[in-house]
Amino acid sequence: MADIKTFYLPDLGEGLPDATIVEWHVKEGDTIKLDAPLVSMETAKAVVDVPSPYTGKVTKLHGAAGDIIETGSALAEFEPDPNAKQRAEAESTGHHHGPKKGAGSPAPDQGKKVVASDEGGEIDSNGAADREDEGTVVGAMISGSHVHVEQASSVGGVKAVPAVRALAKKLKVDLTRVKPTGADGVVTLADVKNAAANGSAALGAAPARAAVPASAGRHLAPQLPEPEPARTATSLAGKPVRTAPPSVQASGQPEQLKGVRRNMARVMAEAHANVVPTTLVDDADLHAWIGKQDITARLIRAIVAACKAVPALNAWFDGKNLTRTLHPHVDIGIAVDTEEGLFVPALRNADVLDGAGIRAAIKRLRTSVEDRSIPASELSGYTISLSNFGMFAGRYATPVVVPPCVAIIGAGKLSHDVVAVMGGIEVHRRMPISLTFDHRAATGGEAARFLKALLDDLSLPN
Amino acid sequence: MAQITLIEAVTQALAYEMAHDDSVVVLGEDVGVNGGVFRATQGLQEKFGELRVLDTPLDETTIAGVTVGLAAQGMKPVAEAQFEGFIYPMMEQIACHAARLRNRTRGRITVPAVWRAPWGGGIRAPEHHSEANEHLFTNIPGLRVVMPSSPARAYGLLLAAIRDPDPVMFFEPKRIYRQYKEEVPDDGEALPLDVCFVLRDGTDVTIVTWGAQVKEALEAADELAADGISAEVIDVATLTPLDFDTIAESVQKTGRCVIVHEAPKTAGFGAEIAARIAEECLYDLLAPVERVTGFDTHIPLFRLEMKYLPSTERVVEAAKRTLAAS
Repeated sequence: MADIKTFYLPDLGEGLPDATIVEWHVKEGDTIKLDAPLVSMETAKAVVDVPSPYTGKVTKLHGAAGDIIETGSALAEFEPDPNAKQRAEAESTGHHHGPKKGAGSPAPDQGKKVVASDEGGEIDSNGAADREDEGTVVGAMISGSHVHVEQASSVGGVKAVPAVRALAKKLKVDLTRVKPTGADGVVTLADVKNAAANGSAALGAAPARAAVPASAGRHLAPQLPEPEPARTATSLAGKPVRTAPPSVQASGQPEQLKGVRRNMARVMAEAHANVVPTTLVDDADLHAWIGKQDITARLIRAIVAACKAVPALNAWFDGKNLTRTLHPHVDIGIAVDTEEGLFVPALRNADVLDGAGIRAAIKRLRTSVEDRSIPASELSGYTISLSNFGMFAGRYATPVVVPPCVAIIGAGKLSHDVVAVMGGIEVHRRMPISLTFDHRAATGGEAARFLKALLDDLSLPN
Repeated sequence: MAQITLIEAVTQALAYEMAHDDSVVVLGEDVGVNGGVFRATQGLQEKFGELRVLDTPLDETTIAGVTVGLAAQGMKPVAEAQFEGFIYPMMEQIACHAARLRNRTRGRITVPAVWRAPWGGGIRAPEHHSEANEHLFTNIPGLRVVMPSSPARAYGLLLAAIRDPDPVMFFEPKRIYRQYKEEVPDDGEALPLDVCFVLRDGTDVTIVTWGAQVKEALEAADELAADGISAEVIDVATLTPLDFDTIAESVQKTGRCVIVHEAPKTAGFGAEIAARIAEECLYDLLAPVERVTGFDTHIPLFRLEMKYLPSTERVVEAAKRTLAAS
């Protein structure tokens, strides 16, 4: 009648071979409740309270305090109370037996999935566990064999499982534009990868953008950029290459701006954010020039003359306090282009130098820029500036006024132009001049009169 | 296509990558002969030999240090911590070396290592065997923290983790190691890191979670649906770097958010997500963000364990509170 259950010593650590009884919390004949402390056992790691696996009467205790019990050997026997709530057959006490010990160890209870089974303490959640052990040597985990299928959802009219949606997001693919090949119109992982590879469904852009490298789908970890296919004028299909918008993928590596170039970026952005630039352009007629003349020196002289005529452009402007400072002297910032970026050294006192002095001063500035010996103090404090880009190319420009200055003059490439003169046409040598000024600080009229004075000086014979 | 459990998916991913990349090695306590404490590496040593599946001494610090060294010299080691609670001795090597080498060498040396650890409670294990401490690692720059919540995601994300050039903490929610099966093709296809997986679309409330709690989140969504409430369920999957855009999009749509995690509430990773929502989605919120988490105590032993873990009921209640707020 009495259904005696034997409780075998579970593995109390990870694969410990045995444990020592420290103290029984019950005597034979006592009744005990499920999960109440049954015995304290000392393992190589700790003293562990082993809870009772049943509610009922303790019929036998195997061993006394101090005895060593092998893992998997019988520890106690119970007569479970049939009226009390017992743990479901399938559940464990939280511990389980280690490997079965030879003959000395009685066979475990024949209940199909036993408390603390000999085979590894699995909890059979659906009555059909098809595995033995292989679960864990510690604890007991729920094991089930039902198959979970991730449902494809159809958000935005597109059917796709979460993994596909996540991949599309990572590869910046617009799912709504991917051609589905799965059953029932489901978009598959492969569809997304193909779309990413051929750029047919790039996110956001109306025209197809450059393809993400084919490897991006297969091998998600970043890796060295794939070697670009050789660039030819014909496509793989032998047709002339399509002119596509620029690639979203840079083939070069981004480089951190440093030093002068970094400063240039900052200064230009600041200028762009603050100044209200207005540009006037016109041509200086050099027809009257006698002999070969120093163009830069003439330009500087012309600027000085213009500054004298219209002081409003030889000034500093404080946009915060709305003050302007007209300068009695003319210090000209000369833009010097170098590998490292833009330098603007100041040519001091241009208004008192003669042609030779200007030439010498410019030479000195260029040299000190080139050998980087120019002190920082020489790179600021000018009152107006000049960008003489015409020696390379370009006629007109919109040079950038860098605060606190109010104006900058750009000199373009000299050319021989057909000009209309009284009684016919002539070919004159001319120099395109661009004047950008901060319209907060000067009027258009001032700028135009300044430009006129500058052109007039440049047109003088010498 | 094989129907496999999450733990089998881990084994499958390891076997696939070892077969296709000679630089992948597996190391840890008992991972070789014994196949690991949860059998995640079962059969790998037979297949790939003792040089590629290394049984180490019982010394987590050494395992972690050797892993950093192997990875820095061009191997792709996958180290196993037997349990999340044993990962603490590894943290010095992980935080001070693995996570920093790329930065320290200005990009010359990376550490393409993976630390796998069975994570979380719910299996009636002894002390130190049930920790959920992912938040300790999400606060370490230079580490990716990844946690799969299904067999297919375990397979795809582990492959991605091994192939990633930087150190990845790969936390496996052991409560669902063998809970159900899923069809997982063994085709070597990695899943994307650094994106959240939207497991269910909804319009009323967003449930954000990861790892084992995805189960409770989905169950809660089912229960809420029965009450006519449409819950969106997001599996964060990669905790860092966090794909906050997906969460923000969802919260902007639903106006409500319940964050579910097993770790203690204070300074858990849910706090980070809640803070980001406060920063970036405050004006979209219709209710305070709710957190359903473990408690600010060590995870208890098995009799109280399930009371500690976020339950479906707690998630449902929290979601309903957000709906009651507006």
